[in-house]
Amino acid sequence: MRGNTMRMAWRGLWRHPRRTILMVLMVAFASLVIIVMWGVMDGFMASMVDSQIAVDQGSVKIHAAGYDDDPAPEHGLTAEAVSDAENALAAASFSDYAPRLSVYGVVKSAYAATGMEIRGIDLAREPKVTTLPAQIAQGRGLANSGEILLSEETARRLDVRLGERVVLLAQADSGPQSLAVTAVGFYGSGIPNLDKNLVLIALADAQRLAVSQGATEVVLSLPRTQNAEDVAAKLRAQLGDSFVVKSYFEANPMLASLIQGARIEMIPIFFILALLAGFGVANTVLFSVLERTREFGVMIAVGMSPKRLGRMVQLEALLASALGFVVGGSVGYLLLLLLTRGMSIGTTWASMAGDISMPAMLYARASGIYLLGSFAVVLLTALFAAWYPARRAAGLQPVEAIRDT
Amino acid sequence: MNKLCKTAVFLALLLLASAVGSSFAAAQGLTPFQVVDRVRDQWQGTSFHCVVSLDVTQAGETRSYKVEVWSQGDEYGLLRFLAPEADAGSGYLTIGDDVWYYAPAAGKAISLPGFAMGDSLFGSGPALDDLLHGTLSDKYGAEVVLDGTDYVITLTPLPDSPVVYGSLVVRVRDDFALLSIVYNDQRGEVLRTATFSDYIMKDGRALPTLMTIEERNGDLTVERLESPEFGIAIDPAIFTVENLEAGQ
Amino acid sequence: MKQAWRHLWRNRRRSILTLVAVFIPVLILVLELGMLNGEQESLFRNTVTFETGHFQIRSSTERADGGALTLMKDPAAALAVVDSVPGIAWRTMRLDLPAMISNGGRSQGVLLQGVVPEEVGHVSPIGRLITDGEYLSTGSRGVVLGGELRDLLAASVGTELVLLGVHPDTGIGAASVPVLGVYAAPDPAMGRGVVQVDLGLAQTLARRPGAVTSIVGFVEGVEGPWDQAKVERVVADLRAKLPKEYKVLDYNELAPELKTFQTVEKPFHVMAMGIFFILGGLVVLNTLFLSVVERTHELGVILALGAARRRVMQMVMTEAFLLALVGAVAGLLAGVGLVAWAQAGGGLKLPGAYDEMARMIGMEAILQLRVSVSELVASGLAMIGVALLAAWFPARRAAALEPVEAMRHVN
Repeated sequence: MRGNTMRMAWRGLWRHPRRTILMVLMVAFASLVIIVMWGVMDGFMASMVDSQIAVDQGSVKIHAAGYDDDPAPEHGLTAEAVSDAENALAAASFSDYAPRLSVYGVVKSAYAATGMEIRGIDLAREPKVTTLPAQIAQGRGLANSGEILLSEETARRLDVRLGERVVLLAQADSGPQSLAVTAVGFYGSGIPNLDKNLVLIALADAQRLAVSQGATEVVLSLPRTQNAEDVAAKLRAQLGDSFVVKSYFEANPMLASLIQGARIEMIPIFFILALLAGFGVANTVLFSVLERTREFGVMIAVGMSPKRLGRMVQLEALLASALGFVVGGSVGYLLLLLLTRGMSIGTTWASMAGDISMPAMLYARASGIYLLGSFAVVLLTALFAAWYPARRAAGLQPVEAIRDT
Repeated sequence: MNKLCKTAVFLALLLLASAVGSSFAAAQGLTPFQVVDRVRDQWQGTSFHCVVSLDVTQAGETRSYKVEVWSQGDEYGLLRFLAPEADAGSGYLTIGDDVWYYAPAAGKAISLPGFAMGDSLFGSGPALDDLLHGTLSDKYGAEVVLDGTDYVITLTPLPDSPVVYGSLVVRVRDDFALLSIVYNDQRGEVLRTATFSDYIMKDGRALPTLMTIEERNGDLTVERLESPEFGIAIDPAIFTVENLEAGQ
Repeated sequence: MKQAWRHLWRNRRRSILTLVAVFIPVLILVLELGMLNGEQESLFRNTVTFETGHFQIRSSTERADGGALTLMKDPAAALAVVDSVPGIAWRTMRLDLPAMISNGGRSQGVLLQGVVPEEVGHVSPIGRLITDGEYLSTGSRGVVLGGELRDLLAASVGTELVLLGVHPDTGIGAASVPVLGVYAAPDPAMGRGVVQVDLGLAQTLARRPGAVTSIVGFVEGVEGPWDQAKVERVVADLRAKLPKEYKVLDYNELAPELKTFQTVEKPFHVMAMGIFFILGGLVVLNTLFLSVVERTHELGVILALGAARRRVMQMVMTEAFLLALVGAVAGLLAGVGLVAWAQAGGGLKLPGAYDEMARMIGMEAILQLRVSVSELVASGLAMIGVALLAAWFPARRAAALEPVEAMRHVN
């Protein structure tokens, strides 16, 4: 019986193909928009965050307690603390981590000098954690002690050419330290704040500059599938009070709430889209019910239960919506998949975006969640759309219906 | 001001460095490094006191200062301002790597991180520092050629030396009076030129009392030594923070 | 025309639906524009008031290393020009220079801002965020620093600290002054790195009495970014009159993120609203299509009676136009009404996270909604345009009916 109703509904739809196509189009459009908007929005946010994490920040950072209040090497991790942290990480089967020593100092060329963050990185292990050491715009990356990687902007500001020597000056507890390094390459991070304030050298050189055997942080990189906050919590429990362990979001709480806010803002938009599409479907189905008043009247008179009639009408609406969802959903999802390869936002936009630290490539996220969400929305639409016409149909009085032409 | 202080200290060191030239006379046939070692030995613990007048021209504006300098070897140094009025009583004290600054307006002496002044105190100092502290052989390679009757010593920093220059060219007269020092960048262009003149004879050595330093951008510093004294006994109490704060 | 009205009235339900399909997108666009404009205005006001002013006059020679601003030794000439140019509401002066601050053995490098307290006290974020002690007043001999710096120096309100101005061009200027107040910085780096003093004290520390690094000016009658032309006029005037050693920067050059909002974010959001327009258009298409189907018989009769096909098409388009007009106007009115209502209550209160962020810079989390007449007209016209475009297909269909077949069509 069910099957019969379904078939009747289906046939009913295709008796007037153009109308049905219009309905499908409306629902398809709404589904597509919901999926693509959601995916682009999420992907956009993720791109911004991921680019910071992947390029420079890492997923989880381990500091010494008290370092955040006065970020200087003397409040950093001692050599023992570093190996404790690394042992804990190794024991938990992590492999992409590396120590760093950051000291604030002066980078001096023959023509100018400026204060910035001088970061010593583990040349072998840092590339597994962040991509910055490999984002070379000119020259090459760091390979040995005695070398420095500057941003193109810094090189311009200090008038340094590839192969020239610059002097690093820093203040350690024991007195001023100086170190000569050769500019072997210039990097482009895509993040203006980094370009302006960061130079990279070998960890051993930074230790010499800061007169320290330790590091200021140990940075861990995690694949996207792992929850950084969980990992941070576990490490925190393991390492105890002399360490401070934070995931990227924990270190940037404002960001997390901004992202959440953006997500929530989308919800009313989705509902209004669904509402409009629902109106369209409802209108069409209602129209067809009214059009078939006489026909329905006859069917009821001949013995069809009004409720079944009502259900058939509902099915019509649902089928149209389902079809719309299938079409819109698949096109939308395919579009998202395409966009996950990266949308370049164009050169003029990119240069302006640089000012607000947006990366030049935006990625959309394609996830089953969006399909599900869109489906849920469409389902609601359909049910809502089907409700009134179905009631109308089920409430028809046969005699009146036949009489009503 | 920073340039000023830098050049004053620089000058003090420079005068001692002029001994390099004069030692050639006594030590022909030795390598330049060996000569410097001898000089260092000779000048270890030498003291120096002088009043220096400086005319600093920057961006077209010229300001004049008068400072009094005391220095004991390479460990201790005191520089105090005598003029102009706005600066009188303030000064710098160096003990080893530590630097203090005092100004009457500040009320007490402040310890400065040496590099925080940027290029100031030891801008071109280290290069000269090296000549004095005997680390020359560690930091530079040297060549000597004869140009007419002058000796021209070209110092090239070794790759690991924390020096931003490409080379230093020191020109010395045949009687080993220091004539000039030219600082070149790593592209072979002149960054700064220091010229010396107005020599006075002291123990058979010619010491310049007028030094002109000209920067590439046209900035000029002219230093004049008035009645310099060498090898005198200086009361160690002079090189104390209390004395710095005394402001007189 | 009357016919069109009659028909629309007869099919109230469908007409209402079409109205709704036009009304909603317009309403949403108006609200979104209201919010976007509010955001832009908020961004503008915060940036302009706290940081940049409408324009700044600085020395035209810049330092190579970008470390410290060049000093303008004697700004009297520049000030005279500023005071002679019409349209400037008020101006103030600032001296920013790198400095060292120390308490006994502890010292820190900071950025020192010399300001005229009575002119900026109420607008500077630092002035608004004082948690301990008090803010500066003109001629005061003291320093206001962030909580983080106070902790680093182990100082408190009243502690005498030594300030050393370290301007690369002028050397060291020193002063020993007490802590007057402590402010809560929106971010720790600022709290550690930025201190404020009276302009006179800053000049002492820079060893150049009377020198400043910038003259910050505000133009009359500038309420928001839409008044950009006024600022540009004053800036052009200044540029013509000031001697060569000065340069004038307007707020867009000082804060490029403002321009980005205007050229990137705003158009992006407006385009996103276009989605509603499209869907609304589809719904209009749907209802009109159904309407034409319903009237097949009637239209057949009209055509058979000799009416021109074009006339039939016009009929449908007119109906669509009327609906779109009413719907758009209704949407605009509703939108304007909501905006006015929100504004009457003092603006839109923002929830949760925004509240925190706003409080950190000493502002309230309230968004003022604003829509300009031109934006309203544009929105209305756009939707009407979309509706007419959507109506075209059913209208053509109606005009293409075969009269005889059409008349045979039974509802």
